[in-house]
Amino acid sequence: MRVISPATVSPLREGLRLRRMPEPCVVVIFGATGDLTHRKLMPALYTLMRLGMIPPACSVIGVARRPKTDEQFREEMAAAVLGPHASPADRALWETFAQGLFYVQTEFRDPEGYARVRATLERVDRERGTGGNRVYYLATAPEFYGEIVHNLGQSGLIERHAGQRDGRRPWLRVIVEKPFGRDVRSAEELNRTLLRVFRESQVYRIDHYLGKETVQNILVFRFANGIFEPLWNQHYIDHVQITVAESIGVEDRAGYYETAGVIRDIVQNHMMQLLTLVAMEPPVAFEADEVRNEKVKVIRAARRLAPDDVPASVVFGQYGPGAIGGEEVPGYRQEPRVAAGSRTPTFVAMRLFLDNWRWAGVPFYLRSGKRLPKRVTEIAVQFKQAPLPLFHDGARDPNLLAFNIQPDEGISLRFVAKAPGTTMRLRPVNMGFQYGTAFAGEELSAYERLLLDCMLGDQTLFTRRDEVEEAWALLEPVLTWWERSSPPPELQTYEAGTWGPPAAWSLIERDGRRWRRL
Amino acid sequence: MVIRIPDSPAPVDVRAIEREVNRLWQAASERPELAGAGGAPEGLTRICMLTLVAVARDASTLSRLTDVIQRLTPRYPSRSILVRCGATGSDELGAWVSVHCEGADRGRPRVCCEQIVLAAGGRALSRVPGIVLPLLVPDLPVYLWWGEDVPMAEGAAAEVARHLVAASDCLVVDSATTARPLTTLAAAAALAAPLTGGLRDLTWGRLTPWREVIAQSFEPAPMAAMLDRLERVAVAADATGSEADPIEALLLIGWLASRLGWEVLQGSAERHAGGIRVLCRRSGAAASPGSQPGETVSVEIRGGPGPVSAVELCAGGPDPACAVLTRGRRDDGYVEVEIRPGRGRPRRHTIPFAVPDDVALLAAELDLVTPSRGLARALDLVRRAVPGA
Repeated sequence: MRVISPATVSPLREGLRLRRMPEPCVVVIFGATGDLTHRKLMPALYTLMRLGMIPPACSVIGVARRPKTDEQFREEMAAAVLGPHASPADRALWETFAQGLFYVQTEFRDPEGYARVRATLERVDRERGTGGNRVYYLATAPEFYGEIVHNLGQSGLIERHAGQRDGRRPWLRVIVEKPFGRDVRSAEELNRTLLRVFRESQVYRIDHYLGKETVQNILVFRFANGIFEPLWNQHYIDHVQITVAESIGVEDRAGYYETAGVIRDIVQNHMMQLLTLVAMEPPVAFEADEVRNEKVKVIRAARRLAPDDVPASVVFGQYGPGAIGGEEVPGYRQEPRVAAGSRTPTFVAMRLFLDNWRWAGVPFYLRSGKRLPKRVTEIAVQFKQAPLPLFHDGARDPNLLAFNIQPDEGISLRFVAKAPGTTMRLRPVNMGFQYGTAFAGEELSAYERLLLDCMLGDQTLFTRRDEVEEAWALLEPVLTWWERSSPPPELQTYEAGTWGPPAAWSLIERDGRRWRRL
Repeated sequence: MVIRIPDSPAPVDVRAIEREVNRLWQAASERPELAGAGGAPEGLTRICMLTLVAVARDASTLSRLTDVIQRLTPRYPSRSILVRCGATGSDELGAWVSVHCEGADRGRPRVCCEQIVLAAGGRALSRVPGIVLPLLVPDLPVYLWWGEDVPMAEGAAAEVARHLVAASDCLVVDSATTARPLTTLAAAAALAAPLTGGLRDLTWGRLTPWREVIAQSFEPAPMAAMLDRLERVAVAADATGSEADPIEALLLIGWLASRLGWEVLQGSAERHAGGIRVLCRRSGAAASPGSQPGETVSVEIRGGPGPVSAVELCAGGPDPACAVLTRGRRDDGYVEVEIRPGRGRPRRHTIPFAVPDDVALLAAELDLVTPSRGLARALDLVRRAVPGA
């Protein structure tokens, strides 16, 4: 069930894959010459048009500091989206799409630039029938968010009740890319900045993890199947492991990563989202605010770590030189633009508890890192052992349910079976379901799905203000301990291509458990 | 890469098909080409989401269905049962089994499915349901794909159809490939009425891109207003040399009329050289609230039973205009849309138009678990519109 805004539904849409087509709109991308626009946003918008999921009138205005004409912008985007081997059909479709691409050059602090954006918007509305509907996409570095939002408000580009047309009001939404601040204070400040100009119902904080099929399937799996939910609590579940592992290093993001580290880059957003989806109570309806109400309760239930408790519950690490896939790779401190004595953590393992009736006493183990042996994101729910060891020969592996988020989206259940033969030998076996092999059709990528949801006015898969601030509040003691303790806590180094420092293994093994071998 | 075990389907005793299938799975797991890295056996992933029974009288039709089903395997792993039904008068009855595996790629496991082929003729036809029914995978949906006109008259083939449909959840046909499309669709709809998944028609599926582009073209406010004032609709479909009804074009008109709340004027339909003309009337109970009851819409179909190639929709009233949607070549992937206002210059733009192949069409039908209400409504209108259907 999706949240439907009061927009008119065409009588011709019944039975088609989209029950509702977004109204024509203009997507204004601030930071249009950046990597995100080239690699994700423009390909996503073009794909949505190619699949017939947005109207051909949808238009894009790129806003950035480099001087460029509309034509140059179109050519650059064509190169980014189509590549050199596009088919004649793709080129014909691109021509239609490209007619709706425009470019405005400005410094983000320059009010004159916003006047030019406004003039372009009015012209596009007039010529292409976009009806005053807007998506402002903040694809810049986060330090520009405040300036852009302030200037949007000052330049009359956010008129909440302007332009009555056909009895309908044009809509206006803003998409904000992570990071949503770097601690509680800055997150609150960013939210205040946004909400001075926009309403919360207009703010779409994007976390592309929520656009992935398996992430959404966690909810379907839990709340559309009757057999698992009765087991989904501290009576039957021993513990939960959430792993977000990357095999790549810091690559060309050292400038950002040096100030962020693994907590801000991965844990505060992606991992908190996975944690909330796996642990939340059933919402009363599958609607944006009902789902988000339950998610935020999970973070509120997470036990805050006192400064003295942090060392027993959190392990930080940084990768040293090693080998990935048979190739030698440098350590973090040897990466370009990384300080020689950097203490930025590239790995974290932590143990959390949720103090509510469902999860009391069940540890949630989280680990994430760069330069681990493989790229994998997984949630593993380990059930308690069978109460009596009736069989003595072989495995007693407890049942385990794994949600594989990437790279191969799917779900698997481990159970114990008897190996054929005259003796009672037990072996663990996996029963697996993979999206790629089970369902037909072209899936939307995370950005395609989330952009479409934003145009349709569905906030379910976007992060709300209180989720962001509660997540920072949960993690702030950990960051404070790491960044402000005197003397500083010891930085554990791990060899690139391994599963993190030995202390990460101790963290879980002293509870009598083990990290999953992935 | 597809690996078939054995290389060609092995003939088996019809009384022991299930046992032979199991034996084949065991043999397949020992095949060296299915071993994992380093030659170690990696095991086969046997996935089954449904049973797909395909029936044809003609060998070349069955071969076409087999090819589609095999290409569907990676997307819809299933047990497939292919039945060649009564092409000859001989009392033949034979069965062959095979396992085919899609090559593992991009880290995905190799997916293997079993295929059972039955050939029956003459008096042996009556044994087909008794052989097929025990082979249906328990508790999974059963889709029956009938490759030609569904036999309705008395006789052994009609009995086979009746039994197999009764054991299925959904009946799939492709009306455009049959000799009498409208008759086939009507008969199949009656036969499939009790099924949970009802009737599916791949020809209706071929219309989905047309329905998408028409819906999309009439979504902006000024175009949406045109829907309430449509006076003339013309649909052109490719001629194929066949005398059969232009089923794809007819279903498109049926869809448009049912969605906009038009009623066919009894006795208005007339066939003429190369087409059909019919008058519709707005009923006033339309999905489109601005429709004026009582006004007529002239509908014309030109061409044959081939794919729809162009649609023209013209609105009257104080602000007359026409929208003309023209498909490029089959592989072009787009439709040219031209808006011709009563005053001013025409506007043109391009809309994506992906023509699905039979594998995609069948996959789309397998995605659905409930009857297609759109097809039922469209078919109902078409049957009332076309004389002699």
